[in-house]
Amino acid sequence: MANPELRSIFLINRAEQYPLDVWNEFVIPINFHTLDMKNDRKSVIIIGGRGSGKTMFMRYFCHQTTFSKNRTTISSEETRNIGIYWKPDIKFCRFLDKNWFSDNEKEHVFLHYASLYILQDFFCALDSLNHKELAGGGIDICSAPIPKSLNPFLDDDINKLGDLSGYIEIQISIFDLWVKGEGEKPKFLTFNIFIEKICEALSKLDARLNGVFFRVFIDEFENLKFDQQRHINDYIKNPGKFFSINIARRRYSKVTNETSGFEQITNIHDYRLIDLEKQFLDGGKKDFSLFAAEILIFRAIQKGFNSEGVVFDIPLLKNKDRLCERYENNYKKNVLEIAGNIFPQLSIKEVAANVICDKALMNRWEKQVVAGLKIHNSKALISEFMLDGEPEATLVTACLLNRTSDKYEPAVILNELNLLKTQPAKSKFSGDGGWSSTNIYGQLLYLYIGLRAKPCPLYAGFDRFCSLARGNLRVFQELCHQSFVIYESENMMNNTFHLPQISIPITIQAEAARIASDNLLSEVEKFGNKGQALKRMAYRLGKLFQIAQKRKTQSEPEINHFSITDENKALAREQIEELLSEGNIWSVVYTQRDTKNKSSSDRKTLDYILNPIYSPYFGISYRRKRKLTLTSQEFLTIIGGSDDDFERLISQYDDKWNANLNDQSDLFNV
Amino acid sequence: MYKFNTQIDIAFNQKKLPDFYDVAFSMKPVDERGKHSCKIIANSAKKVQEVFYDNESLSISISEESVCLKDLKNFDGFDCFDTFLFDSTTLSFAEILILLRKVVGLKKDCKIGFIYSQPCRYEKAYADPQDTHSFSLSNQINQVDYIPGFNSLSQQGSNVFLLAFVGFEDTRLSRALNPDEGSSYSDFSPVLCVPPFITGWENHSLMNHVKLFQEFTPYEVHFTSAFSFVTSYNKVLSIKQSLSTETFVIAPFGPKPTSVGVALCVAENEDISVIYDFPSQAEGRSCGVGATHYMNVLLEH
Repeated sequence: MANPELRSIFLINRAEQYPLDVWNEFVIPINFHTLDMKNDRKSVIIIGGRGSGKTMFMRYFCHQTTFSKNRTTISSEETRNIGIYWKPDIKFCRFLDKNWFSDNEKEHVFLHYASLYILQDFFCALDSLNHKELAGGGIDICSAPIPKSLNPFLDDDINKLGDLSGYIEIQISIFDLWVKGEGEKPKFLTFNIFIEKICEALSKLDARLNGVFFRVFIDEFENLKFDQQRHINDYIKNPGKFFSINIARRRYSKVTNETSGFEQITNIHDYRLIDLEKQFLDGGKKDFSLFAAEILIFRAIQKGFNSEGVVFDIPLLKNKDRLCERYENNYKKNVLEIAGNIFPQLSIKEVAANVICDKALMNRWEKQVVAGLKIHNSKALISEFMLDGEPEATLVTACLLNRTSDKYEPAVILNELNLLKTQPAKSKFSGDGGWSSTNIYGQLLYLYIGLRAKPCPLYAGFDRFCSLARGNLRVFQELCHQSFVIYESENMMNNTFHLPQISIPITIQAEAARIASDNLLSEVEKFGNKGQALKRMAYRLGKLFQIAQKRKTQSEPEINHFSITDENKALAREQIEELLSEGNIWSVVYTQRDTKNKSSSDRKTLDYILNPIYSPYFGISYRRKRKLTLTSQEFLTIIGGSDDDFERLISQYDDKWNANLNDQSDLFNV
Repeated sequence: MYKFNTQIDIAFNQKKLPDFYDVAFSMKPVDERGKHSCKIIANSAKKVQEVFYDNESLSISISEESVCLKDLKNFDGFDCFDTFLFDSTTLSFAEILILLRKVVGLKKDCKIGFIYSQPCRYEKAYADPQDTHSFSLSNQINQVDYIPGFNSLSQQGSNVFLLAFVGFEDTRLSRALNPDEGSSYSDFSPVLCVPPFITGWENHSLMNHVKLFQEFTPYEVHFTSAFSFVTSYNKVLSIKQSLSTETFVIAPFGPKPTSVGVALCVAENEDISVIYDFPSQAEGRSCGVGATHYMNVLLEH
């Protein structure tokens, strides 16, 4: 076997790139107890952002995985919940919605199309049941006779259930020709009749099939036209005895709950909602970190890295009955430690200490101190603001000195530094909420911003990768992947294949974060029909936050989100809503309630957060700390204004914040 | 069956083509070179018909008569013509393909001519620091879509091969390959245009697509001349012959002469599918008039 390569670990990051049988690939999510469908037969609606693993999750429940050739034992209980997968072809569905067919015909044509593909996989699923590892042996369904009640739909030479796969393939070809305007009109099929009649017969064929049930998963439901969604919703409202319809859709996507009748489908009554990310987003970052660590280690071992000396139980990740073991503290500590060793992380104090030893960065710091002393007409020496053993306080003095308030007179700051040395508890630099803890993050970002040769270590480390990914596994994998690629390129002759010895240097991780950020940002223009507008919005917001971050005072550090006020014009509201909604669908921005401002119920109470993965590109904070309140006119300039309009807006903020953009060529010239 | 005649260049001051046609097809020009080729075809055909395909109504307007694609087979407006000239500078791939299929379906011997005027340069677009290889060619890049009659349901299977001709705009191919937009191909190969219209332009095309090729690794990379109609035709035909059971899908996102080659091949091969994104061309997208190419093909039954 060839030596494993780190870059191969996360080379594949989409479910579509894996085979349909994902038994070997799927790691049961740590929050599976909140997601498992078990033997509940109610329809489910699976939601999650882009890259949250919806397709992989569905495929885990589908027959190819349930009756995987890689499984050694399969309980007969598995026949009570067999998954069928259908991803509609959006191009074809769009075509069906146009005026190629009459309005009366459209419904029947769409349902026939859906039925052909659902039945195609249903017949494959029947074949899967003939699996030698199934408890009691495989069930040969193919030679069983077709229920007589289906005869009117079928040709005379179709007698056995095994003949139906070929029959469906022929029907697909007939339909294809007819749609092109050639050949005879096909006999329209409805999948529910076939599934119900066949399952009725199956339940009598073998005792293990008494209770057989199929879950039909429809992926990318939001891509169907509303009328098509209504026809699918009809089956959610009225499921069969032997099947239910289940759908997956992107969070915030526009879908209808209407049926083709007067009713709507409703949560709890008609379906259960499965939110794949909820637990990771609602204060569940620790759960995400654990899951991400498990996947990292699992994939590395799967790719052939030697795990000797690493205590890691792969079967545990495949067993949904052993989930509680993964919540034990010792297990979590061990797994996070292994991941933390692969992607080590510096504490803030260590980052600050490294800055103190870096001539170029200290040059920037000194210039900042000099500028501050000038504001206060002080003759204090730069060296007076350097306190041995207190790198955070030392660095923070530079931004404090640039504030005009008397509170930050050089003499006051020097006094507090002195107290930090003699009576630390009494110094304003100390403790939570003290000068150091409040300002150090922003100050470090300020010192690193714009220095391409010095990637910022605040973006490096396993835990910080998880924060940048914000519950999104694909983004986490991309951060790891870029780190591995750089590491292997720089260590061609010195690769280790022993997992405990793999440790990616901080600078490589930080550089990888910037590259991943750059790559993912450049992808934005490809996000749907509003991709160009989303890209413009992301770049311009990033630039605005970057200017805030470049302020010498750091009086409001870490601005990375915004809210919108005085939205009076109906037209503006529509335009803003539309783009922000699209931004949410594609995870370019996130919307959260403003928990600090409960006075009003309008848009002011909503915060819009630029996806944290874009932070390394702009050199801004990924932590949700401070927000910028934009007027609707300012936001309109950001999303639709000309380059000149936007430059004018930037200049206004530059003046307001006194960021002195024009001086920066000097200040940032290190 | 086609019989290709040698492709020639038409001098800038030459007002008409060496051949005269019964009918010419064109669209409203959006730039200088479009106006130039429109003038030439006006002097080289008895009749010029403005055509436009609307992908929403699935109909093509031919000199203001709207014909649904479903009914195009029964359209008899071309029965009286034996020679057809396509202004491929102004026409989009969709119109060229639909009209060619109709001409092939006439089941009679005819002559088909193509004219294409190159630009001198394209307008640059630096929306951000990364856009050093970008040009303002389209107002909007749309979702890829089907053109009715040129697709197969087998495109949804697992054994589908995509051949993508590429130009400058990587977003077009990116949207075609993006699984989030419903795409799923078992293999894909790009066709890069070398030689390009102007030496060095191949770098813009390649650099714009590098990241995409890292994400979607090509099965192999092909090359074709940007300005030869017949090279792309032969390229498509040879690739088609090398495939075994795969469904063959083509995305014609390259320069127009390559799209003409694709359209010629698809018009006579119903088992080839196409996807297209109907870009809305930006007004004044290019400057100047470069070389003007002309070729005719004899269609023999």
